[in-house]
Amino acid sequence: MGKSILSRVDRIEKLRAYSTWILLVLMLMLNLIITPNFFSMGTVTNIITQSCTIILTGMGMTMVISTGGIDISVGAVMALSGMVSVKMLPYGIIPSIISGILASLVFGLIAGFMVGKLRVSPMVVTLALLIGVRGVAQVLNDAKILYISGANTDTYRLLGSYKIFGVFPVQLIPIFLAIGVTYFILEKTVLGRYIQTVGDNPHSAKLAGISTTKTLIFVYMASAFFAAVAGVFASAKIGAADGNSLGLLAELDAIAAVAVGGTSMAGGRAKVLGTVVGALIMQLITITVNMNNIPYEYAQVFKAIIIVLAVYIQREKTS
Amino acid sequence: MNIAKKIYNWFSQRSSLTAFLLLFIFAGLAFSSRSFLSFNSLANLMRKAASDGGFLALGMTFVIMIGQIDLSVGAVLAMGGVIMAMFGNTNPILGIVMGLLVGAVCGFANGFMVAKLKISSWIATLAMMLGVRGVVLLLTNKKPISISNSVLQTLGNAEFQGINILVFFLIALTLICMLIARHTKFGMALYAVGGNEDAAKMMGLRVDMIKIGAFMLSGTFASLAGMLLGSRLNTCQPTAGDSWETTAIAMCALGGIKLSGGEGRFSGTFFGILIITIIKTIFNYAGSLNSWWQNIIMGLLIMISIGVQSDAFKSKGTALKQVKAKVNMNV
Repeated sequence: MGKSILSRVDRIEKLRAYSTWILLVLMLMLNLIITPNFFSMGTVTNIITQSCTIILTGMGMTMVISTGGIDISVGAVMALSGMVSVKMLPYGIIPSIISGILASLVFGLIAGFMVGKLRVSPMVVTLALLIGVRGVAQVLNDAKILYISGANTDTYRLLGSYKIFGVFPVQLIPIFLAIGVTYFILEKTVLGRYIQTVGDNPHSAKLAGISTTKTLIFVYMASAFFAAVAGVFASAKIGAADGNSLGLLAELDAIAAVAVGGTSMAGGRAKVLGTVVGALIMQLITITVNMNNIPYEYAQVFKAIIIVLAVYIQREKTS
Repeated sequence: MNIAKKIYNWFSQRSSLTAFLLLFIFAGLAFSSRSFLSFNSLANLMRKAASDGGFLALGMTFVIMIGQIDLSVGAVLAMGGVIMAMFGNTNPILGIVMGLLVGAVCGFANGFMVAKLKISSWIATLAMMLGVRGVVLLLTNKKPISISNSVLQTLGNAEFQGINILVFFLIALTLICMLIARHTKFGMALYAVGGNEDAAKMMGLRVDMIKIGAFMLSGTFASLAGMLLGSRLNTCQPTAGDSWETTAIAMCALGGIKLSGGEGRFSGTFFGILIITIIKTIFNYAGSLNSWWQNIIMGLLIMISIGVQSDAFKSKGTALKQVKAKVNMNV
């Protein structure tokens, strides 16, 4: 008698742990039934190309949120790196991408320094960056759209449209690299343990001899790095860099993906694969709505419901 | 010497007022030839402060004071305006009541998710922002609704002594908020919950109710902002207030409201609102300067004002004070 009750609790607990995966499978099955032509290569390509930004920024956001912080500047950083890369394109493809990433890393360093050293609330710091960095991106080209042109144009465009083996979109490479690197850092390295300890209890982390400042600086720079790469790929896909709209509201998508994936907003618990599933769910909602000719506004409402539901199911019972 | 020190202390405690005065003097000197200090331009400045997010910042202050955040204010602003326009063209009173009610309901839903369902306020209000914006766009079919009722038009356009009525609304509401924060049980409870939630609970405060109350106030202020904005423009846009939540948070941050909760005054928020507005006005006046620099300056200003208020500098001072206090006690 007692045993059966226990196993039932266990089973519910297990269901809770895998709830995002179940949600993803349910949505795929729903699509299989209602959406015509859902299982085609075109849909897969669509999902991969469109979820590139949200997965990349989501990886950085997972790290930041697991330290108990938040980074709302990723969208602006995307705009900056896209703008700088396209601007520097005549000097060669590699220098252009590197300069875009370096420019973004500077702001990641500033954010990490302000949060880690000066102990300022991460939200205000990244809010200031959100406003300021987008300003920088706009000023760089007088707030006009900068189209890719001149030397190296074709190579840069390939970053958005190349197909591996003629089938898989090129965005698959940064997606897999980002997931792999983040998973490795968070799960297999000492640094990853440090990150989650800082998020769990900054005070005891300090007592344990962990340099919270260095850890936080690394985390915010990593977030800026992933955002920068996302900005490069997004601008290559569009074929232009627009300081006003590139990466606009990308931070909210990333936060939603992280939250749906089961990472605790209070920090201390990072779920890298959960974020990936969260990002796919968000993207799947958009695609379902688009492929069934439903007005896009419904997608927003569905997303809101899914976010609240997923987070509610996975919330921690303590406190 | 002593008086100079007192004056210095008074101003350093009110960093938002100081920053505003500095900007104001700068603008007054720089644009004296273009009569920045004339009555008309100042009245215009105040009107902009009231219509461009001022009310959102006031409501947001309640939520930030308890250590939470409300990302849904921009969407609720649009919702409030649209609902008022839908009901108000035939019956203005009904429109106003419905508009305020919908804001309060959105705020209640936010507060319920945060306090009872224990969902992080980031996620709860982010979802609310997406959902409410979606509903507004669906309700209006993405088209603006015009306001034809004369009562509602007066609500946003009436002038008294050449000053727009919105300015009086903003000042009156700021004073009311200051009263609530300083002189009511609810106001004191806000600081207590923001400072230390567990301690507040142990003191017997109904923390959940206070949280829901703060979110409801924020929602109501947001819908009020949307209604007044719609009345002033004679039309309610379903896309109104898009990304204004960042502006509102920036106003609070510049006003010295501590974003981890428990500290801040509404007078600070008021001057934070004025700081953002005066920066925008300065860039309007300096036409030759590229207006995109506005964002960079604003970001820098927030950085500086927050950096100066940082605990890293403060803790040394307070630690010293504590030691001194102990020494005094022993003596």
